Amino acid sequence: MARPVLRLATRFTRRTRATAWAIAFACMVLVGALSLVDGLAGGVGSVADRIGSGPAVYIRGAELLASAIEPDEVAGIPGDFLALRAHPAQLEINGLSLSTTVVALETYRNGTGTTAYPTGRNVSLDVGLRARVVDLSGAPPAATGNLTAFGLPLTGLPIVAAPPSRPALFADDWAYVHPDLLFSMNRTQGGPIQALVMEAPLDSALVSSLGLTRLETLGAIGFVRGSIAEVQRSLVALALVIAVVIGLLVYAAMSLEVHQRAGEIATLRRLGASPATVATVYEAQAILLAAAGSVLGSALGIVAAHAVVSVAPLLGLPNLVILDAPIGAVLLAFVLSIVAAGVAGLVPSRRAALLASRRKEAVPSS
Amino acid sequence: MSRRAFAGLLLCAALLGATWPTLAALPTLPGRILSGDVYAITQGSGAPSVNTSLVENLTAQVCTGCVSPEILAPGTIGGEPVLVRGADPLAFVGMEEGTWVQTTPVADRWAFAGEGLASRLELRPGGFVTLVGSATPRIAFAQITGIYQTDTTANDELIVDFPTARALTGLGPKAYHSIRVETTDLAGLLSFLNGTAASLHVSGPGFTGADIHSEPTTDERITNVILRTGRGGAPRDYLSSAIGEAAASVRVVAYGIAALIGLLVAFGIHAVQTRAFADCRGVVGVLRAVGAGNGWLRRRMMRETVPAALLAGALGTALGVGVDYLIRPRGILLVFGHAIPVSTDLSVFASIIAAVVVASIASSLVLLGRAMKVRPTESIREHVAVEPSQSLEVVLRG
Repeated sequence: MARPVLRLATRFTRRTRATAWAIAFACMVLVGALSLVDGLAGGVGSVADRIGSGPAVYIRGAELLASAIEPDEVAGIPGDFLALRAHPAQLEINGLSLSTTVVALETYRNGTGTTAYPTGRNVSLDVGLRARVVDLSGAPPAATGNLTAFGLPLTGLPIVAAPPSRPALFADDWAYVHPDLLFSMNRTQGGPIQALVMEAPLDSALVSSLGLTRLETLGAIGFVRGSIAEVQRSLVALALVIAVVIGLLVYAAMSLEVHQRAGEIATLRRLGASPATVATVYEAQAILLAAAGSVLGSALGIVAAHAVVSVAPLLGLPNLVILDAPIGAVLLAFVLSIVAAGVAGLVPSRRAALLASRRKEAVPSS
Repeated sequence: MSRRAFAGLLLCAALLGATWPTLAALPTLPGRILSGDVYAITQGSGAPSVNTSLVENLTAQVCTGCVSPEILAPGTIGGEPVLVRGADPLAFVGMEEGTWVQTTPVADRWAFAGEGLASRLELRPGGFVTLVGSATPRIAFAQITGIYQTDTTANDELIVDFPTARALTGLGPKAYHSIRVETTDLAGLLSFLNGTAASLHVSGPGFTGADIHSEPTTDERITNVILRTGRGGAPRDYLSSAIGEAAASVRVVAYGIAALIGLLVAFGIHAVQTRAFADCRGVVGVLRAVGAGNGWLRRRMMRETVPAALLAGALGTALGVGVDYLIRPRGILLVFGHAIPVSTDLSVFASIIAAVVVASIASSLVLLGRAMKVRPTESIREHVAVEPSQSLEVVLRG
């Protein structure tokens, strides 16, 4: 039975062919638009890859200050790296109360973490923070100060010199303490590490297994990449519009097809085709229409995107768009068309089945 | 024109109305971010000139109103693109005609979030955020000290103090990226700038731009130089070049998508009108049989098509813009970390209606032309609407 059904379903008329073309144009818009945006992402990415983005910084989640990585988890990470603990704090010194960030650095070598500076309860103010204190109070930082973090104030902490060295990645207005001080202030919040800083990127499988994400510390690159991702997300709205358009096209074409082929449906019924078989014919035709349209439209979309990018420089619009094979866009267009046509074809095919049932009742048995 | 054809045209115009104004607004976004509704002065190709000295001189001029020196640090917060702007918050929010929503006592460091950004990233006064360097790898932290609201692109930005902005960008202690100036006397401003030795670019809304003691920017320069030499080889006026390049790339993508949607709509209009014209095809034959000339038929077709297309275009555009307005607050239309501004350019709306009318006229003329090629007796003969019955038999026989 499948063969006759397929033959009937592939019996395209002028109207259904026109519908297939219309679906093709809709898919062309989707594939062309996605290709252009993906091409822009590719072009920007190729420029960004040429620019050194500094040390690799890994955090858990999207926000460094909300990140929490347990020290036990990082012991197995190979190579040397810095473990950064960072928390908002209030520093009281020279009669000032300054909002700042208290930071503890731990150097990991072969799975073991050590902190050379500062030691004990000492608080080391970096050069920028010292300059801020001098600017606001007109005097160099006092020998002691108070630090409040996690809502817990510590008073009379010795203030020591700026760290002898720190990565250029870090801002220069932080207050440095020993990790044990943070741990003693709040075991739950002060214990976990917020970020791992290393010279070379980690293996992606290890990053994935630890549930880490890389923090892009060169903002311009992250900004442009994020912006293009925003456009790609916006195109989901376009995909939904295209799906609705395809659904309407298929519904209109198949409804008319069923209406105008009522006589044929009766003949099929007389020849022994069940209502389900008749419905399958029209549902299969809707899906075949969408499949043909999406394949044709994808090809047209690829050509259109290349045409736009090639013609743009001639019109005085040099650009960064580098087109690649839009496999994702083609798959999206195909799946979207099939699903939209499948759903839209349900009503006409059900109508065909009902028509077939009525015809059977109307036909006198001989 | 039948009701079905009118509905089809309305739908097509709605699709254009929902997409074209947004796509038309996209390429203007980089320029709007840089200058807003005032004039922006940026570094030219010559010696570094955008600094505190120029700000002081500009402030002292009679021809200038509010002067806002600014540092632009594009970066990310929580993985989302955000433009961090070093600026004097009072001058900046005043220039953007904004209002303060929430503020906390401010000391020497501050970070004010635009309401759009604050609601999108759930930023609250007193909370802390991680900032990253824009042109140099850097990590810094900022405490949100207040929230402001504007009707401009600034509503999606974060305003920070100058030391923080300089730490993020690596700019020198007296340098700025741009100086925005309110003035009603552009000629006076340009005359003053020409009288200095500063190397500058001046840009602004409705102004093609001026190069003061500077070579003009070329779109190719920054990309080529960065690709060839890395970040260090970027020209001094990289900001203007980058804005120009970003605008050109966005323009290609936006106009490309607009053209593809326009093509889809044109074919949609043709498909709808073909279906509608099929019902009255015989009328053409009858009219020709009774002596109607081709010119008369075309004029008659125009008289029927143009008013309906105009009405459908106008209503559809309004419907599309309404749909666009409804989905916009959901925050799905963002580019460069900014909500795409609502286009109020009447020429865009006019072009949508014109596109619908032109497509409708072209389609009608094509259909009429085809009908007029058929002999009158043929066109009024009844045809079987479906495939001949033997085709089914052929299929079933295999």
